[in-house]
Amino acid sequence: MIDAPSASVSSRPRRVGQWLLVVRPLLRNAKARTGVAIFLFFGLVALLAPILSPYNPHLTIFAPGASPSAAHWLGTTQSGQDILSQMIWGTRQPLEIALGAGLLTTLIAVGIGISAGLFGGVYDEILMLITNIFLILPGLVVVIVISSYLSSANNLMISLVITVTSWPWGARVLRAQTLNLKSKDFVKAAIVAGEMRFRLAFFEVLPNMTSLVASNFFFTCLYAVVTAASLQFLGLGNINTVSWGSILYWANNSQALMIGAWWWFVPPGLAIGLLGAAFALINFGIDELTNPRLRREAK
Amino acid sequence: MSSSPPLIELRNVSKVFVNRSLRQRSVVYALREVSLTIARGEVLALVGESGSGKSTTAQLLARLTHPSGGEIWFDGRAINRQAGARELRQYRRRVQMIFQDPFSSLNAVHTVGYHVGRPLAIHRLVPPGRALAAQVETLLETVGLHPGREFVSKFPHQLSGGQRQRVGIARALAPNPDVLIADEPTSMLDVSLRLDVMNLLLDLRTTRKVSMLYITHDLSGANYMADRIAVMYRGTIMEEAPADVLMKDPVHPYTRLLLDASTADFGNGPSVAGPLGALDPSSPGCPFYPRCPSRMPVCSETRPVSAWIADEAEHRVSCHRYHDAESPKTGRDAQPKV
Repeated sequence: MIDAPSASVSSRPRRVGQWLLVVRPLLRNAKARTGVAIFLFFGLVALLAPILSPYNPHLTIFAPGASPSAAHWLGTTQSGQDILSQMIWGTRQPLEIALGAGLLTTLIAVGIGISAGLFGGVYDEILMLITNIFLILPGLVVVIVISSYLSSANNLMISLVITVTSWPWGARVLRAQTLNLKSKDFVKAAIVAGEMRFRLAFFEVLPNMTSLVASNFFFTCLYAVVTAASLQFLGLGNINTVSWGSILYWANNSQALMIGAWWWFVPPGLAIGLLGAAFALINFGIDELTNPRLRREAK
Repeated sequence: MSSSPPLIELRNVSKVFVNRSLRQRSVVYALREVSLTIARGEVLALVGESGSGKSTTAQLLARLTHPSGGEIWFDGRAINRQAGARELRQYRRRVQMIFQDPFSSLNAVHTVGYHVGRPLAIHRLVPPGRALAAQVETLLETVGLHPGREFVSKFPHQLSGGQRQRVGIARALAPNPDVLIADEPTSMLDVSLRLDVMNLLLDLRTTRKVSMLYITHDLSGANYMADRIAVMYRGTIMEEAPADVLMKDPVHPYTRLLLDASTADFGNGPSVAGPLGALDPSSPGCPFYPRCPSRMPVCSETRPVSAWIADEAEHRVSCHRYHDAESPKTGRDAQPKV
């Protein structure tokens, strides 16, 4: 109820202005633009999978092991499934896991990082102790161990498992930046004005590190795409779901490489790489925007 | 002014910063048994060079940090470190601060209207909505940002340094405080703007009857602004007197040096004798001893006691030269310093 007046004073021009302030320069950056384009492409494919996909990806009625043809653009698997349809449907899982893990990780990192930095003292020390313990856990190993116990892991479970090992980095970075911002006069001025802790954290400190939060999000997405694919490739998680990782698993299982069935393992590998590159490119774009030294001279 | 009880009183306030490293533990005395008073409607200037403890005094009064020793009294009550939220909020409404750096004291992501409107909303001084927006515009016009309506939706980066500092002043004025702490409010501004801001503060003082702690390193600025001036050196109040007395008849060697330096031509002014080395905190003598042009043997052995100068009301000095000659008046609100 105390928020209402300030909102009425300033929120509309600010919200719109700030949104443009963040997004417009980002889209002007070539790397970020490329990344966003690739991401949107995969997003559309995932959304429109029922329309785009020529066949049901689970159908095993086609000639097995066929090379690409007009009927099957990416050929078929050893058990007679259409690989293009599998690729299209398989876009959904990596995207869901990436965005889920990115969101969860960023939420935890923001919550722990900012509160530890802002409130300090014993609270900070306890949180940083926990963070450091999670930080030294070997990420992929822990993920593999946990997911081998989860027999039928759904996307949310895999996102959670990835989050467990990926939040400490962000928490530490955001805490460091909070410590830096905390010493600035505008935070002191807000304290003198009578702001409560919650407002200090989320209205004074957090808006000043949107770029760090965003890059933390996209970095986690990248990590999640690669980790989820690795898990599926190793046969952990649910190999009966259709995803890029499980296509790779079955390709590997059927010695696709030995029999030269490149159409089976190259497309999923390429797709994983491209989606990962998209997140990395968006991250580079944010980095260049916020770090003027990396910015190229305007021609 | 000494007849009415002071609005703010510092009683032997000390502030110690401890730096702990693996090898050693070093102690820095930012303030050493500082006693000061500010009466209602009075402007007290605190003058000193960098590192003298001026800003620490401001932060203590703004309750951004706590004293290591001594007491701060506000309106007849001692400030409690473990104050409840309500009491703290009440204090925040009545004591406001203007910061030194107008570039870092405004949050880049918030508009002018947000900065000035928040104190009104936090303390529920104005009902939300149109009344609050109108009050924000009035405040902006009070500090010389005309027309207020045009500034409300601007962001700090769209304003000049002088305009930003005015926004900072409007924010401090918003809850209609009894005390303004101004921590070198003009030092980061262009010289041409300084007088404007000082005059604005003087106007506010007469129209709003607000007490002020005006912190500066500039003695002539202090004289322009203040009723009384306290000169601080290395965390100790060296001399305190009504502004005209201090400017006309300074007695402490440090005050004299400051005054000479501010009036002397460049190049041939007197220089402060001795190096500004790190002061040994355990040194028993006067903090100014290493640089004092008129030091005596006793100065390196015992700290001088702050004492009132006989025949002069309101004039207090902390120097051995005046202790031996004149007997210190006791029983006033200045406790003898140990």
